[in-house]
Amino acid sequence: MNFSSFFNFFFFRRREIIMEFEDFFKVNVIDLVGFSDAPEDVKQSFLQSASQTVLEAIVDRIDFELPEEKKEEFYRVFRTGAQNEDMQAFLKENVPNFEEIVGEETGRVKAALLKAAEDLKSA
Amino acid sequence: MPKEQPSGWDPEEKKAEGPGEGKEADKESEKGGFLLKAARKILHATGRVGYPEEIPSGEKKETSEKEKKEAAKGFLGLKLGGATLVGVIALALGGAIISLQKLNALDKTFMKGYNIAFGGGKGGGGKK
Repeated sequence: MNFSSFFNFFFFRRREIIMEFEDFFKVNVIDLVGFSDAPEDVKQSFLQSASQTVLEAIVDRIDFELPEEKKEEFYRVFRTGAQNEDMQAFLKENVPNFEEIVGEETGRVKAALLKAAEDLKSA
Repeated sequence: MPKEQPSGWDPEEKKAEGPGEGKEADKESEKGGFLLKAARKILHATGRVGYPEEIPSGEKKETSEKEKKEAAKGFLGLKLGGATLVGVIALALGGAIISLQKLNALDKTFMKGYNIAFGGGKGGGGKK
């Protein structure tokens, strides 16, 4: 199964596939990549790193979607120690589909991790 | 009187749960790092839905990776619904988000995001 058909298999909108899609959504990424028996600290560290990967994917996506004139403001507002209210205000005004972006990028990272784990298994 | 140590006891192994288990944890940790690197490569290779795979040079000011990583750190403080964004992401990755009543409304937008990603464009109506 090549990579694009892998994604189509999981995300194509047919009724019988929606059930498998929901199962994918509900399953723990730790189990997906075969870390069920790993020590707790390894699981936590992996989940933390995976969450960080999602955040970077979200930034990448927003960077791509924002017009050039808004990017400087984005990187000024979003940095270490940024205030929640400032970030919320920026997103409300400039990234109205933010929650959809978060859901989408989380799904992509989860699917990419699954694919990476399957490639590792078959290697 | 000092405790009798088993033969072959290595004080460096104190942090491991038992003989060999520290090495197993290291292996799992290494595997985790490898999987994350591979996943990032896959994400870059597949590009984004509706996006061009290559940004023509000179047409866009390229943001540095350092700026992007810094912005990702900024998101750590962002609240989404009743929780922090990174907490919500961890729950979504863990498959637990559907069961949380508090995040029920957010769950719908997550699902919308998942559906939009590869379902052939944005659906009509229902956008809040």
